[in-house]
Amino acid sequence: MKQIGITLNNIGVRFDVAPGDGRSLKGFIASLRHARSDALEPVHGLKNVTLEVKPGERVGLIGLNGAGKSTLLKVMAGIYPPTTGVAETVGHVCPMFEFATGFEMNRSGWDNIRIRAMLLGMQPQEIDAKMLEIATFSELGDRLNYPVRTYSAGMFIRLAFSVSTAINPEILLLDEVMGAGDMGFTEKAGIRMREFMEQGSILVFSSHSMELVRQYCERTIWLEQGVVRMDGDTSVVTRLYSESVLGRAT
Amino acid sequence: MQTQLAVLLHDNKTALYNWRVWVHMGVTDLTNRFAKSALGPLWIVLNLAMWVVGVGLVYAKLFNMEMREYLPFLTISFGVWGLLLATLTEGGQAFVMAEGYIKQFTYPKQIYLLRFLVNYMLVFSVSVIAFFVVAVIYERRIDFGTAWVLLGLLMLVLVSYAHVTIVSYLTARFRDLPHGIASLMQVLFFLTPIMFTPEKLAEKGLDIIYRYNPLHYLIEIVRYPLMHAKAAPAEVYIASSIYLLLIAIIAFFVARNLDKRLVYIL
Repeated sequence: MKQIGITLNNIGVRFDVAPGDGRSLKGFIASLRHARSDALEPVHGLKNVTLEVKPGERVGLIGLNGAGKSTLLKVMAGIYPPTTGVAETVGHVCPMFEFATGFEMNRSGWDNIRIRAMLLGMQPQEIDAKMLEIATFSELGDRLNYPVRTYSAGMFIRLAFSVSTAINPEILLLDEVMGAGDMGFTEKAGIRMREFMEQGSILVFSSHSMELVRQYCERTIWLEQGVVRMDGDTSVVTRLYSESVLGRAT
Repeated sequence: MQTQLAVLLHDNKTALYNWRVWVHMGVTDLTNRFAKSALGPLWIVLNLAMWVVGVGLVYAKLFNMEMREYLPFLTISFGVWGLLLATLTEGGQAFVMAEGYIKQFTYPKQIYLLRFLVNYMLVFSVSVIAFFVVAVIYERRIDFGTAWVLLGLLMLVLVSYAHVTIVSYLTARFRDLPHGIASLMQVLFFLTPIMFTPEKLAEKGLDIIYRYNPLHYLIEIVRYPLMHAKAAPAEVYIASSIYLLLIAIIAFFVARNLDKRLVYIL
């Protein structure tokens, strides 16, 4: 059994943008006819990213919008196959990325808890055993009987967070989720997050809040336009990042 | 290519191994479709019954056939056709509809193909059961020979999986595809022996119409053993096997080409 960890070697992710809408046959034929005349330049999500995350590490990802934070998390999760380089993630991944999608809109909160739990790798007996605990933690109460299309954005987060954190993840990947939800829930979520850390698993999360990053992570990676600008001690990286951002503003 | 094949095989294996996930999703997809209707999944039976009885009464006269022959024939023909149609058109939505899942969960994508397949197979199994009900009513022969249908069903499952795989990857890339296939299938419906027997075409010297139609053999591979309580002619198994092989190879190349890109083009 290999040791838990994330190893990224010279990772590149390129988004090809096809001419036209790129999804229709018409667009495809058009792209063959006038080869790349009106084609948009490919977008580089990530370029030459090499890094390693070891067991017990808590890593913060910072950077401006479009710097590649979400893309990097998805590569770590194995959702985005890198265009170049080799990505290897060993361990059971618990991803928490998009909370507005991945729901069966016409089904109840209960049904959605079950499906999400299954997709996160929980066994049926385990789900039955934890169902009530998940429901209680979400504080959604009777609303769990309603189709989730009636939920607010915050309620989706509660549901998804409650399910995702009910499993025992080895690797937890969070994309900008801590700031959402109402205040009470964030505090609860914070407590639950700390419990994860006590299990000695890996945490990687992206945030725009330097405060959160300093609170949770010893190590911080600063991404800029798909490249690792800096990777090191949180206090140093966040200070330089803040100075750089503020410096640009003036 | 070797490694790509290994990756795809591994993903398929992992997906199959996690059968609880897609079986649960597929079954609840079906029950959910009838969530607030009074009759629920019984609608599948009613739908089939209305078609078969409505069409059966008129066309049996038109083709000069006994109801005892025509009704069971029509029941199973419709059933298989429904499966072929669903896997080739609607089935293409498997990845598109699972976009939200694919972009945030790490299971192999094949989970979502199998989820659709479960749904279609359940609907299809209703028509197989319906066939036996009709067969019993008309006191048709059902014996060990009928068991040849199992081989046909197995091949049909494999073909369906290949169909769903191909159209799902391609539909994610070319969203026009399901509409194109749907138009084609509409024409094929009237050119394939579904409402009429192959013998009727042969009588008129039009056997060329089904002779080169792979869909005909896929229907016959299930229908023949059920109707005649014995194995279908060798040509049916040969043609179906060749088709299965071809479609499996196409499925591999389509998946090989688009598997890594899928999440980016959704």
